Amino acid sequence: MGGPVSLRFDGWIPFRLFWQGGQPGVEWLYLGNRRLTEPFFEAAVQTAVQTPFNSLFRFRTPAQALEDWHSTSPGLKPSGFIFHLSRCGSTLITQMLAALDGSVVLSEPGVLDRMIRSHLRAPQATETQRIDWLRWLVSALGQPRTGEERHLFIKFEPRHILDFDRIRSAFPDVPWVFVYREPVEVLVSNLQKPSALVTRGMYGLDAVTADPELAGVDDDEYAARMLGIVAEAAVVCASQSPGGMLVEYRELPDAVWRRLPAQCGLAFTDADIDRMKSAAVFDAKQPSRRFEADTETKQRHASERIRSLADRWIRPAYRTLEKLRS
Amino acid sequence: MPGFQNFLVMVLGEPALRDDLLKMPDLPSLKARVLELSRERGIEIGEEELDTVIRNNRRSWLERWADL
Repeated sequence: MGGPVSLRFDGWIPFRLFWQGGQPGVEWLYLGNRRLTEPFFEAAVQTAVQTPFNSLFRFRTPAQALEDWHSTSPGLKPSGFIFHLSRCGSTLITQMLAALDGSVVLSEPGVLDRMIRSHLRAPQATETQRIDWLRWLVSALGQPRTGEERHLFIKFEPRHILDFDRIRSAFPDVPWVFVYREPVEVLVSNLQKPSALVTRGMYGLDAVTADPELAGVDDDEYAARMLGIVAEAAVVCASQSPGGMLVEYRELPDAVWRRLPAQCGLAFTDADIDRMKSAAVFDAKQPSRRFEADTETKQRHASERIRSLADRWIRPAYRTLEKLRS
Repeated sequence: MPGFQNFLVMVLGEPALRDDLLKMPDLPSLKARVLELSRERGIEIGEEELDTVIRNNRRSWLERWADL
């Protein structure tokens, strides 16, 4: 559907990206004034897409419609970006922020991931074009829905730290955070319940697929190496790019109300902090369960080999991050 | 443009029409309301066309994992 320029998309949100002739387009569904409070964007979409209305009234538009909507209704300017190593408390941060009515939190939207990696589907496009696409999409995703929202936060997927330059070019002034955790604990978690990042063939970190050595390593080492690549990329970003803040898992949840306000220009009230503390009581990824600290369990489950892999592939970058944090 | 596409453009452009349709509690009621309102607006839509749209939307959703 081409869509006349005058179309308004109030209440609609792009949830999928498609490509046609080297140009992106998006598919929209209707969210109305529903806030995104689920741990992940895809969970909200999964629910919304099944309503009777959205079963019938979804539509696709070319990127031009995103540009037009961006001009008409720019949406909220992002207040903060959250990058992370995976399994290190980033979802806790987003769930705490989502507890505030004034926040729009986009937690790893798949549609954003596809746009960030536009070079794979539109290799002929210029970097300027890609950056514009990214801005227009974030603008459409970050529309206020209730009228109370003042801040937009985006949590990216772990691998997106490798796309930091593109994201930074699109949003040069947005403060950012990188969250990480002790390497053995991150690796154990990723092996117990493999994330997309460490699942061979599922995710394809662009930067490493060309490494022929990876084909010969076992899954444990593959996971350690992937996590190491993300951690090393974070070291580069933290060293070279201003505006970043490093958060170690041990600092959570307090860092959200103690350090984030200064970093992102926020002013939390006592009531805000109480709401965030209440949200932190629950397991961020399964909010119906209470949070249980698992540091000791994860350390106990680590075999000598896992420790050795974590030490070799992740710990050097972790140490540097810790130095930079202090 | 098929009848449904014409109606969809109207739904996008008319918040009152959209809100009316959002009130429908299930798909059979929604389809009946769409047929009624489209008739009033002089747009010809058949139930079969609506079923095809719904089927295509479902299939597209199930195939989303193939997105790069």
